[in-house]
Amino acid sequence: MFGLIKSFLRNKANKEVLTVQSLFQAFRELLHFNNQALDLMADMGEKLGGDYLFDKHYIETIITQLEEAVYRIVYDLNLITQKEYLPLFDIFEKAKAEIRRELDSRFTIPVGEYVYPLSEITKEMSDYTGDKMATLGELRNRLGLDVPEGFVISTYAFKKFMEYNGLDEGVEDLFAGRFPQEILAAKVQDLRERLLKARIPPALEKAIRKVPPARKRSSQMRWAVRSSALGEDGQTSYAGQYATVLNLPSEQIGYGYRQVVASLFSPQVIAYRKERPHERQEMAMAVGCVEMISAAASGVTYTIDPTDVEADRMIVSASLGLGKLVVEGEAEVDQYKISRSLPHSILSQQIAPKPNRYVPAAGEGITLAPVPREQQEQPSLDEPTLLRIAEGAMRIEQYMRSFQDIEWCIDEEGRVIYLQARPLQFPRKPDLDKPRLVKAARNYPVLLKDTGVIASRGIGAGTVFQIGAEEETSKFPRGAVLVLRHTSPRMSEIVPLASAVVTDIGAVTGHMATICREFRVPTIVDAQEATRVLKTGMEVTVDAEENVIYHGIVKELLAAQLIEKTPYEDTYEFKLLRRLLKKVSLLHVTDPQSNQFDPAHCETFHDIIRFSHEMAVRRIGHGIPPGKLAITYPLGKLKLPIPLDLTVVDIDGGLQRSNSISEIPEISIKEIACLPLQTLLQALIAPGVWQSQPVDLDLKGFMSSFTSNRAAQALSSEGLHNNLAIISREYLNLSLHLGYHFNMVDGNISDDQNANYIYFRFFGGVTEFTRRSRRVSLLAKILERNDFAVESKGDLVIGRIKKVDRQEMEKKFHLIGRLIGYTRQLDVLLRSQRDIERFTDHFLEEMRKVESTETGRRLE
Amino acid sequence: MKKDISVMVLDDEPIVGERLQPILEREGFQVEVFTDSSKALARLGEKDFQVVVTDLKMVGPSGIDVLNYLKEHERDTEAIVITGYATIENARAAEFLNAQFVSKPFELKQIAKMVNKAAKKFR
Repeated sequence: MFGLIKSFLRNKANKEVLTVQSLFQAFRELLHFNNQALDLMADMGEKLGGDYLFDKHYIETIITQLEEAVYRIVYDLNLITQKEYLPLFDIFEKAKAEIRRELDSRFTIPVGEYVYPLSEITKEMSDYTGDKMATLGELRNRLGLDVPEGFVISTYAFKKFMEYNGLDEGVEDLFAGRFPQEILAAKVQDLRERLLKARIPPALEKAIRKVPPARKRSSQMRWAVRSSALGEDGQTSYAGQYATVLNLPSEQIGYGYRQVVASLFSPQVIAYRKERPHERQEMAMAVGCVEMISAAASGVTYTIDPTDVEADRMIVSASLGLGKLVVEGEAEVDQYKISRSLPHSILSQQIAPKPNRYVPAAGEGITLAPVPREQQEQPSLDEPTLLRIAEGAMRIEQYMRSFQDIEWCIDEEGRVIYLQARPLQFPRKPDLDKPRLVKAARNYPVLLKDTGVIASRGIGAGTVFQIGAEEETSKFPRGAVLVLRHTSPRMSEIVPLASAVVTDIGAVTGHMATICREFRVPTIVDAQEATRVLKTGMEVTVDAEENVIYHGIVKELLAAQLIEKTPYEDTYEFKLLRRLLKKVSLLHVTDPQSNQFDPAHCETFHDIIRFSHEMAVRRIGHGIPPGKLAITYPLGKLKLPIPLDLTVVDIDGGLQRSNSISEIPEISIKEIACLPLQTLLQALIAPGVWQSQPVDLDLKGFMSSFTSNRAAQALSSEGLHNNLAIISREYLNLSLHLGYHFNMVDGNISDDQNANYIYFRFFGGVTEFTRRSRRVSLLAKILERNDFAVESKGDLVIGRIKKVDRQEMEKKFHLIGRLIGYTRQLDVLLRSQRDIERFTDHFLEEMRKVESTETGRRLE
Repeated sequence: MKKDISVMVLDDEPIVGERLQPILEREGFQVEVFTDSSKALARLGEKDFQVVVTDLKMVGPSGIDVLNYLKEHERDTEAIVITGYATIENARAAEFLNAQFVSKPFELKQIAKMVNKAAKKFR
């Protein structure tokens, strides 16, 4: 690869010798690699869906392919632009080096921040924050449960802390050979002592001081400092071995930190790890610092009775004050049995005498204090609180897809505050006969089988709730099964509330499917007749493992999935792929109009791809004198029944011409073989769309009040702008200046669903602010209701849609065509806020009419 | 009955066993997972497996060694070979060993189908 770049740079003459032919060759190649790179990223996303078994070799291979594609894109862009973007090579190498570092490291401590506020933490960050705190962040940020305020000192900070104090060598020494047990114990003891005296690096100290909620830190505030080691909640659980330091003032956080870090190293843990050299996770301790809650009561919930996993009950243990009595089993505590199924009810309770409880001590730490005599025999929890605990527990279990061991406390206002949730560890393998449970599902009627595609694995059950494309999402009840006609970005916001999602139409790689996977909601898309079969109010079980939807709640299946060992999302390969995909696909340069759309702001492969594609299209569209193009490429003006001055450049089979292609002064619409352009033009020239005047009869009543002289003038001011369409048989890149507006459409229609996309950009012209914002919100609304992912910034609206099938793509191009026609008049029409709704409705109504009469029709 | 059919999954990449075990259990098979091929060979000495799903290239005894062991001991075991590389040599090797062949990455559904096919003759 380096040879290629060197010869490329050496060839100073290529500015002159670049022929038009090689220019277009490079452009087409760039488009090819652009699609390939996007496909590869989509492939990685698909593997994250859980349907595939892949290993590290797959990850290495696909990353290598992606590197090659991105490299070629940069190379081709520099060919096209005569080496204008050489810095992209450096950016590429930098991004590549970072990905390689991630890929080559046998270990999992990623480079990151020193501290993360809980408000920013989700489960997939467990390599940064340890499992315990990652789960706590997930409870707060995705499940919306109450947790204490706080932050995490990361695994990266741990690494730096160890290095700063030269302790990393001490750790290596422990693993360097085999020693007798006493020697190992002495070595560990020595390391721990050095750790307790170690210095916190100044940069870490500063980060701790600055992390939110810094302003809240009064002198009274106290902290609980807890372990959150890598793999702590996993199968090799060392629960209880690691330290927790309670009730510390802010200035003592460093003390607590050292205590917790030191507890990572014990002779037992080191011996255990030495026996298992293949252990794939490095030893690292992230440390959670959370606000100390002054608890009225505390306890632990097991979402299943470990002694009888088929019984429909969970176990709640509770005591007064802080949780130490329950967690460490120091004294008798209250025990409640509550039904797992709805509505939750208390099946039995055993109230223990509670002479003492733990409370925060006056200085730091905690202390035992007597309970007033009249409270000693009382239950620690009342019924409503118990039921809230039960409801929360089931939500966590369903979300985490395994039986849970949940620690919580009740604050002084009676709220349930969650402190920890992790998979329940059974003393022995639970006696659940999986094949029998799975077989039991056969007793339930099957509603749909193998009709759709699994977009997110798992099993979910609940009551069906259908929402139409234009209905409000706010009435969707938590825990219901969401059934939709289409996947839609607009519906994504209610995904976290759903127990499962089923759609008639949709792609595994779409935006909504991605959200479903992120929130671990079992999802089947493209099920054809979901909305017909699954009616609101029906109880169903969605088995997105076997692609079956049952009538009724199949408890046996739900139980069977809760005894899986490791959810696939938590495997090393899955985490690595997810982290790499994120690194590769994060987009920093989105808005080509912005002054930050330049190589300096490109960081990731996706940035490089996006930027290069845009620049290449721009250069082809604007940088080459038309006369020169005509030599080898068909080029001409399109003859249209509307006054639109459009130059068409055919780069690959976009025009139907039997005779020579050397000279095409005027192209008739019949000759357009480019499907996207054909579809778009068909919509644009349809009666009533290109609304200069006279006004179409249908619209007349609606618009009569708006058509003023001023409007007419504005509409006729179509200048001789550079309107250009670059086409191939399947591809269209269209730039249109209409009046004051600039439209850009880049897209593809083919039988390969994955190659299909539209990127539509609307940039409005001069007008006063309120009208501008009305225009933006109207466009956004129409695009959103048609399943586009929409971004708007100031005067700019961007709509994106991808990976829908050919027929659906044609409809989308049709919509864009109509929309371009309508946008010409928008400023004049949108005189009040109310007009947005009216105009949106009108537009969509027109679209429906057209679709019902014109589906499938082509330009004759 | 399916329940009496035992399947061994052997691959030095732990992810393979981690993912295949629950899938095959859901299909009703008794599943044992190994990442160490010597331990797997030892286990084959103790117990009859109807189906063995194995990687080819591993540290220690290879997948070929495992399949040869089965042949030498005249076991009735059906074999499925997993490889990271879809090469013609690998496919030929599998054919020679009378095994079904699949290369990574593959759909879990596919391997379930293959094991069911292999298990057919024991029902």
